[in-house]
Order: sequence, then C-alpha cells, then structure tokens
Amino acid sequence: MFRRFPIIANFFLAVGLTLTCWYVGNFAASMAGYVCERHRVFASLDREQGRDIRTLNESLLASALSHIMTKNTKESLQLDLSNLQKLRPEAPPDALPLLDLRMAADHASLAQLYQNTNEATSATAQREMARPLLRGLGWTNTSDAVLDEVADKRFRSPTSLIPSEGAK
Amino acid sequence: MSQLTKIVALVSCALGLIVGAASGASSGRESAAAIIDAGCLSAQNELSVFSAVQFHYADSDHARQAVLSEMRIDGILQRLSPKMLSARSLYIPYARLALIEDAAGNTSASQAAFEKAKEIVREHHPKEEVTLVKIKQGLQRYDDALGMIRY
Repeated sequence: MFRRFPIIANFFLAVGLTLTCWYVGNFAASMAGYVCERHRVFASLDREQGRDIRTLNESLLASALSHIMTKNTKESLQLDLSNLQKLRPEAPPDALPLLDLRMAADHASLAQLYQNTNEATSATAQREMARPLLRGLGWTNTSDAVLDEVADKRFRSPTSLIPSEGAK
Repeated sequence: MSQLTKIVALVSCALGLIVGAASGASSGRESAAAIIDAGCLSAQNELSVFSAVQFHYADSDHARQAVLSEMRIDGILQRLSPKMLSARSLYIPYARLALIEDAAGNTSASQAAFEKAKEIVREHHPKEEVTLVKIKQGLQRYDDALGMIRY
C-alpha cells in the first residue's frame, strides 16, 4: 500500500508524526515553562523566605480544602480534626493560629452535635478541648454561648464569625 | 524507505516539535503564574479573615500580632504576585492596627498606622478626602464582604 499510494501514505505519516511530536513538544515545553516561571517568581525572595511562603501556602490550602469538604456530622468533623492535627506539626508558625481556630471551631461544632443527641459528657469534653485553643488565641470570652456562636457559624463560613455591625 | 518519506518524516517531526514547544512553553508559564496567583490570593484571604476574627474576639496583643503577621506576609506575597494583590487592600490591616492601638491607648502608634492607611488610600484615590470615619467605614465594608465568602 505504501508503495502503491506514496502520496497518501506520506500524508498520513506526516499528520501522525506532526501530532505526536506536537504533543511531546507541548508537554515537555509546558513542564519546563512551569518550572522556569516558578523559579523566576520565587527568585525575588531569598531561599528561606521562599520556602516559608511555599509551606505556608500549602498548609493554608490543605486546611481550607479539608474545611470545605467537612459536613456537619460527627465523623466528618472528626476527620477534619484529624487532618488538621496531621497538618499542624509540619505547618510554619504563621499558620498555627489559623489551624487552632479551625480546630476550635470543629470542637465547638462537635460539642453542639453531642448536645443535640443528649450526650452531655462528650459535649462538655469537646467544649473543654475548644477552650484552651481559643484562650491561646487570646480570646477573652470562651463561654458556652461564644462556643455555640462559633459552632452555629462554622458551616456558614468561618468568616461569618465577624460581627456584621460596627468596628471594635 | 524512499528519500521523500524520510524528508516528510523529518519535516513533520520538526514542525510538530517546534509548534508544540512554542505553544507549550507559554501555557506552562501561564499555568505557573495562575497557580502562584491563586495561592497568594488564598493565603492573603485566609490571613485577612483571621485578622478580622481576632480583631473582634481576641485581646489587643493577639489581635495586633495577627495584623502584624498579615502585613508581613502580604508584603512577601505582593512580591510574588504584584498584579493580583494590589496595594489597595493593604490599607485594611493598617486601619485595623490603628483601631487596635487606639483601643489599647497607644495614641502615637494608632496615629502612625492611620497615617499609613491614609497614605495608601490616597495613592489610589488622590482627589478623595480621607478621614478616620471613612477608613472605619471601609474596614467595616471589607469585614462584611469577608463574611459573605465561604472557603
């Protein structure tokens, strides 16, 4: 066939080779472009700063993703807590207070779920776990009412903890 | 393999590689820039939200610490993603710091932070008169907007 229809055969060969090489070239160049651009952008920072920012971004992104995926069930909240606890040892110091706030919000939500199912002891235990985290963040009021407020707003958005009227 | 086939194969490979590499390099660079921008925006948002929550619930020391940490990291993020993170929103941490220092009774520190916030706002709105009330309103609007975001 190749000998009988050389033009058609060469045409298909050309198309096949062009597409294959285009794919290989595109993949290799996009990987190289990606690495070069990252290197160029991070070159504006010194090595330590670059590493710190990278780990900070990774920790915040991981905690935010875990937070978004969490449902208002005991199992889901416990899974989120376990994810946050795993993240904590590797997180940079700047990310620790944010992780603590998320963990406190999870404990407060769990306390509310236990309360709803009349498991008072577990609810109290969860609240007692949330309090030191919030006190560590400098919260002056860690009463049950504040913890319930945190729990209520946990699934709307952590940002809704911000009161809607008037600055301090 | 005929001479023609060899030439066709060689030209096809070269053409495919050149076009693929040319389009791939730019898309790789764009992807990296987009990923870096998204990471910076997300980190800035998280830190900003945390500062806002601390501002409303924590004592002065912790609220100050959160804002100072936000400012320091914002400065670094701005170098990574200058287009996405405009200096416009940078007046917010200064405005917050001014109010924290004011509540803590540090008048001179509060004044300095307020002046810095004013300076940043003026850079973007040179004709507008900037007052403490306007800065506070801006801060409140910003906090309200943050409250709408689910992340």
